[in-house]
Amino acid sequence: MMLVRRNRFLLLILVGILLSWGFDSTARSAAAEFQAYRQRATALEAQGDLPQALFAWRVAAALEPDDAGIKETIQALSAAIAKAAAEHSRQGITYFRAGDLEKARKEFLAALRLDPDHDQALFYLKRRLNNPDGEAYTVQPGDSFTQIAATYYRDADKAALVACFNDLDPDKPLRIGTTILLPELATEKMLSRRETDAMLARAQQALDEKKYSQVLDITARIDEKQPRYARLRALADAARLGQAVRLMEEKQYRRALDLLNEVTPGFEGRGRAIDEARQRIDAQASEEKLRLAQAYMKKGAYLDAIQVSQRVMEENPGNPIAKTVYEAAHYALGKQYLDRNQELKALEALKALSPEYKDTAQLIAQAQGRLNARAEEYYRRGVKHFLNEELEAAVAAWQKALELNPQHPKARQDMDNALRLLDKWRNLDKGDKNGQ
Amino acid sequence: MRKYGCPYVLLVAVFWAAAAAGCTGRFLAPPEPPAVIRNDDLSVVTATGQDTLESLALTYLGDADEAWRIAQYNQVGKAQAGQRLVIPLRPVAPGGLQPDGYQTVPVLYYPRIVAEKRAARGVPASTFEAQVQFLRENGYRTVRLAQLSEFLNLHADLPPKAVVISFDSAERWVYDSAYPVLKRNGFTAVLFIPTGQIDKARRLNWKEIAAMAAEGFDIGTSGIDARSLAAGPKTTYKEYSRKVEDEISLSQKAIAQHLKMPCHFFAYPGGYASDMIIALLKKHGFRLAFTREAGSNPFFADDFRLRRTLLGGQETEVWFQQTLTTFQPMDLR
Repeated sequence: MMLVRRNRFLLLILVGILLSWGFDSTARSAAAEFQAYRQRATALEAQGDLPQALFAWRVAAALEPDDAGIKETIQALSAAIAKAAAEHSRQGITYFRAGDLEKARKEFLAALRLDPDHDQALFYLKRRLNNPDGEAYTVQPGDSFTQIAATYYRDADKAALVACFNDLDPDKPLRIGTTILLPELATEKMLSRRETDAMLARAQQALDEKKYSQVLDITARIDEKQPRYARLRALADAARLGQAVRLMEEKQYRRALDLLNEVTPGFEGRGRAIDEARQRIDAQASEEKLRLAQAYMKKGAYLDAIQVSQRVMEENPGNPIAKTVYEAAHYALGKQYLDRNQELKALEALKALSPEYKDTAQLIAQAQGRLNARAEEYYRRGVKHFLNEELEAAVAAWQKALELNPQHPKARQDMDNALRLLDKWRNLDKGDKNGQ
Repeated sequence: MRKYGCPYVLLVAVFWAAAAAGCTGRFLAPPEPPAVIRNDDLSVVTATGQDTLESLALTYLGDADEAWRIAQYNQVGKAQAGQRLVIPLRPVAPGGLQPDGYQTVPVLYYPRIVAEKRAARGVPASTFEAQVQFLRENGYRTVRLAQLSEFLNLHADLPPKAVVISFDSAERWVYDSAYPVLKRNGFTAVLFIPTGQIDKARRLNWKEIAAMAAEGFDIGTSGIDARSLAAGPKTTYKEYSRKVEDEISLSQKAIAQHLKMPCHFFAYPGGYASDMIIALLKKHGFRLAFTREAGSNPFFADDFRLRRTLLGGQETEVWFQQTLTTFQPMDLR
């Protein structure tokens, strides 16, 4: 019995071992393996690692080729990756143009991590960001390497070098819109590096001492012998900007603007200075106009003063002087008309003002009062004519009264009556004539 | 007898089942996935008892040196029998771009290795050996320049701790001291030779260079005489450009002629590089050029202004270990 029990115990262990061997963990079932990669893909997607997630989905798809859902997932994820990469690249270009190279680099890297075939991001990252000072040129219709070399280096023989530097074939035609980097190439009358460095140091010193024209002299001299020198351009730009600021201090805004337009676009401070110069030029023009308006005011040519100040206000709505002149001119004009008993014109001028302006409200009331009084006078004259049976004269008088005071309480009714009577009268008259 | 009837029946049943399992595969196991799945992007395989990561890399990737790809993707150190492994057939992270940063490749530049410690200038051979051993023991791997070039253009990825060792010299120490150390450790290097000095007294000869090339060393040039290519004060542009072009093209020709292989790699003598030299290098089909500016190279480095870390002999062990940056953290999500 003991033996049997022991045997049974051994058998149970044996069966257990065999069963567990059957479920050996190294031999995962196809379904479990597939699930593992599904989960891995989902987790990677959640972590924001889209390229690795895509690969895990591909593994899952390889394990379960008949699963249509996965193919759709892969397509959707590929599309999302391409879209995100394009967005990063666009953002990178924006940063690059704004001169923020570090942020630009990060965006291009993010784009390429998602899509290693994004040629635009790779071009910016490898070529533009590695030559941030290098000048770039966009190929225009009709351009050739020879012509570009002749323009930029005054030496058509450098065409092949420009092509090679850009990894392009010098014998093949250039594609319009291609961005070409212009390498720094020394010219015929080359300066030694020491000479160039010494001249650049002198230019820098002149710049520090704010001797701007001296800086431009030196940079022009180096440029003649060795163009396309990035540091040179930066110095010249700084000098031109300094000169422009100085001209603006002297209120020579136009000349400052001309100078600023020569500074390389994108140079720090250029945009701001141009905006300021333009604003100053506009302000200067407004000031001149306002001086004119004020002169008109003094001469009593209020209509002209109004016209000029109105134009300044249209160009520059916030200009306080223009507003002052505009209001003063309307007020003076209103008063002048009132003095000349031209109440209607006075009202027209005064209504352009706020009633709170000086005693405008009072003047308007006065003009209105005078108009009403004169209207009343015409009304009475009309009544008198009516009583004398001079109907046409009565109508004319009441019409005048209404012109002066359209709200006259009785004039309109009486006039309409008179007009009806006149009509009847005329019809009777006609009938008499016909009867004869 | 009757007493034991039942257990015997059980025993027979169990052994029958075991025998059946031995024939058909796993006893009571769910359906198994196919042994090998393969498409354009990847293979999924089940490792056998004889497989190693290297043998799998040789079979599926065509190169045992690519075993790191399998190890990296599956997060394993070695292959185990029955293990399912994914083998990526295309670079999973070209350029070493990861969500949290990017790979950089240090290029070490040894100007001179000397036999004795007392020598004033140069890295003692014992120090060089210690450094190479450190690299090997810490998982660094030397890569060929063709691989580096692919990496720099986002066409390939490199092992995570990729490094390049370089010499610009035709002196005897290259073959006598450096080469054996590298060979012992299973490493390669790149040798930039001034071709005009080869076969001269106390210099390397073409036979030795060919032997190194056969061992997987890259042979580049640093011109005919390794004189700086900076412009002289009184030369005209035409003279200057002709001189530079001669240095580049004639040294390239000498290598092609003696080693029967094209030369695509350049080291700027004295480290001086310029746009003009780069344009001329490109004109002659060079693919990579190395400066002496310190630093490690990400994939987006300028292929013609690659950085190198100079090891002159004064460096401490700690400095050496810290200089080997192979990853730059940056949030790229």
